[in-house]
Amino acid sequence: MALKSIRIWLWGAVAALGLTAITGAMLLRQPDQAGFGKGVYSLIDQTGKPVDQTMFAGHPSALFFGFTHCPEVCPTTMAEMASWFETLGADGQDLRAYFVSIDPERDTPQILGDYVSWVSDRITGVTGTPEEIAKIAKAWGIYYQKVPLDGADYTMDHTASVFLLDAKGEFQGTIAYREDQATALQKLRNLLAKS
Amino acid sequence: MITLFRAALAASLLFVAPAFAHDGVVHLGSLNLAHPFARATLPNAPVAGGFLAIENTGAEADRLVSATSPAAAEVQIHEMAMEGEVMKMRQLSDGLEVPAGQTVELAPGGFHLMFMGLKQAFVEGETVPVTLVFEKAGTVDVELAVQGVAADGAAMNHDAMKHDAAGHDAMNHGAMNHDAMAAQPADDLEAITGLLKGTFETPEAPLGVEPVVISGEYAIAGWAQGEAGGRALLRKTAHGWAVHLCAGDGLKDAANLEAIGVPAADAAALATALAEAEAKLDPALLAKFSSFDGTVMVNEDLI
Repeated sequence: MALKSIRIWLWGAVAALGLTAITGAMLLRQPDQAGFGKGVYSLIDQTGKPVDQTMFAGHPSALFFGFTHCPEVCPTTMAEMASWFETLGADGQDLRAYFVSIDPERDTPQILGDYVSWVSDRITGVTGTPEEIAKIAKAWGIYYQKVPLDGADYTMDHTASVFLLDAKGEFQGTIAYREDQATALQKLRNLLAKS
Repeated sequence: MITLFRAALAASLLFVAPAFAHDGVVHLGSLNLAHPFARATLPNAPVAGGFLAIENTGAEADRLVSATSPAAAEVQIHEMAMEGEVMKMRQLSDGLEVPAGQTVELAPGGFHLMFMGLKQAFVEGETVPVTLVFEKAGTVDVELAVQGVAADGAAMNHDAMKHDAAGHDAMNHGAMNHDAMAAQPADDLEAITGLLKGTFETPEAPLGVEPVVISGEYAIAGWAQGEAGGRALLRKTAHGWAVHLCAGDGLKDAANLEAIGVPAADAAALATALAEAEAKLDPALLAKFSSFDGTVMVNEDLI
């Protein structure tokens, strides 16, 4: 009854406005994968070892997309991540972190290795071909875009949240950029308790 | 080598406008430059941010037009802003205006000096020299104190740096949307809930509206009524919020939202926020959202 009346109202609105609903309907399709964060991709870690979507299985994870030419958001997030690991101590021993480069043309495994090693020995730097990076970014709904600077240089706009995954690799929530330390730690503790 | 550098520095000083420091504040004409600092860099990071507050006590606007430093191949003036969950970075090629009587803060999360092509890492405790060029006041050398990787300000005077926030907001400094940085406003939430209830609710059929996720002028709202449910895509115009279309699971996907015409950054932010908000809801409610069959266009002209 309720559904019907809404449909009638909506179709009435469509008819009244003389609009073509088809355009919108054609554009809408079901997501390719079963859920948020699901995708299939082949990447490499900072040691050059191949990694794929199975890397998130078996332990809770914190996942961040960034780039080493990033002046502020990425170093800040890395510094905060370092303090999360430090504060959690033994409680957080199962936690793993991932720094996926959305600037794979410049971020080689060697460059990423030293960069992420500053944070912890439990963070993995991930890079790969632009095509495969696009796949993991799409799976996580990551926005990233080259922004040209003077000269041939460029910087990147990108989604700045940290994604939290349980031990099955399922999306559980996010830590926002510059979320206060206490909230971030509580989210991580909740994640660890569930995993 | 060092002698050469000193000689070069001395020579360059001849062209530097009179400036003097007092209590750590560098004075240059009617400009006061305070709390200069930089953040330490991570290994291999080829870029770094530099920050300071520029107060213009004069009657005329001035403009920071360029900066150079022996520590980097290039120094640019940039603005960063968060739009939803997306960090955006823009080069200010025309420099940064410092209006008369106001203080412009170069601070984390906003304007900054972008050091590019670092000659070496910025190490906490060291200093980095930078030469700033102003359109009217001239040229001045400033030493940035390197602080921690995530340092927020020249430690001792953080409150003082905030005092002029109102003036900062009042400035018109480019196209970036700082409003997007604010938390989801309660009145938007109320307006959207009110709109949907006002449109669809009847006394015998109450309408549930949750979750509502907003990014800029776009929003997605889940709704349920009896056994039915779905998701609505809304946009805010000068006339307030309005429904663009109703659909089911299609609105969960950022690519779909983009295809409909939602800007990519908002599409990504909405999809992420929706996934997060819906993860907390009862699966039975989510099943109602999924049950909406097809797409119903309500107001095509909206997006």
